[in-house]
Amino acid sequence: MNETQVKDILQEACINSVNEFLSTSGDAKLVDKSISYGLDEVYGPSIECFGDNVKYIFTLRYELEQNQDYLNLFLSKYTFVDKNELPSLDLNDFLGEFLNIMSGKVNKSFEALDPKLQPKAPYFTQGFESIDEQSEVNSFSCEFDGLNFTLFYQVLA
Amino acid sequence: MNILIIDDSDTQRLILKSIIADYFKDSEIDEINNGADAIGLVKDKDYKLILTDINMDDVDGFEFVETVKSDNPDTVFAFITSNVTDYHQKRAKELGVEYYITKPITPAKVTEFLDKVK
Repeated sequence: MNETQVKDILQEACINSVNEFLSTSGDAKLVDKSISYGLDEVYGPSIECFGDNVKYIFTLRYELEQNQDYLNLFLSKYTFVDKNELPSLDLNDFLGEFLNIMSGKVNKSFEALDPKLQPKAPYFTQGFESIDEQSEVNSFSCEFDGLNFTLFYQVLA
Repeated sequence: MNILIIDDSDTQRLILKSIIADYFKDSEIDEINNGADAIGLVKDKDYKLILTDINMDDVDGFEFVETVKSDNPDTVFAFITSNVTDYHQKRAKELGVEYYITKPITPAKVTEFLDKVK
């Protein structure tokens, strides 16, 4: 599995997961964006996945001033939820679940590409807690419904 | 009808509970965020339907089902998961659980499942 294959799989999984889980318009797109964050600034909901022959970390960095916009989007998308329970809604949890859904799609694609990878279910973390500092961290950004985030990832296979 | 939802995500429980409550208007829906405490709940109450996430800390969905299924032969179990790799499908089959609801949860998916098991 080379870098291009990894990137293609991640980007496709990201777009599909955004459209299915986050977006109301279904027109998510990837954008070229110059990333100037240091690794110490890469924080946000994250997941780590360990398999027999693969390990990966995803961290979703979003602008904190978009908090209310994300919650408004949730209300627009999930109009049927019990509004009385909304005060307990945690954006970190919401976006963590997005990563969980994306991970499910990534695992399926990884498994199809190379059955030996054997990815397991991911674990939620915060930031790049167990990053391999010798290996490269990559990123891409996604825009949808007037919102955006950057997904940082490291995949070791 | 007693229904139990087990998921460590508040968001997923909220979405799922809202859909089920709309479908079964007279149901009593309990929810909990971990498999270990869910085992205790199931000992004290008869559930017609239990929907459980697979990926949870401590006691995951597979271990939960493995622990309680034999003592609850009339309960319908379903996994809620974003991971449907070969490993997960094989494990679910071993446990005798035939129902999956794949994340993201939508009213259409949940309603289709509830139509089958009601």
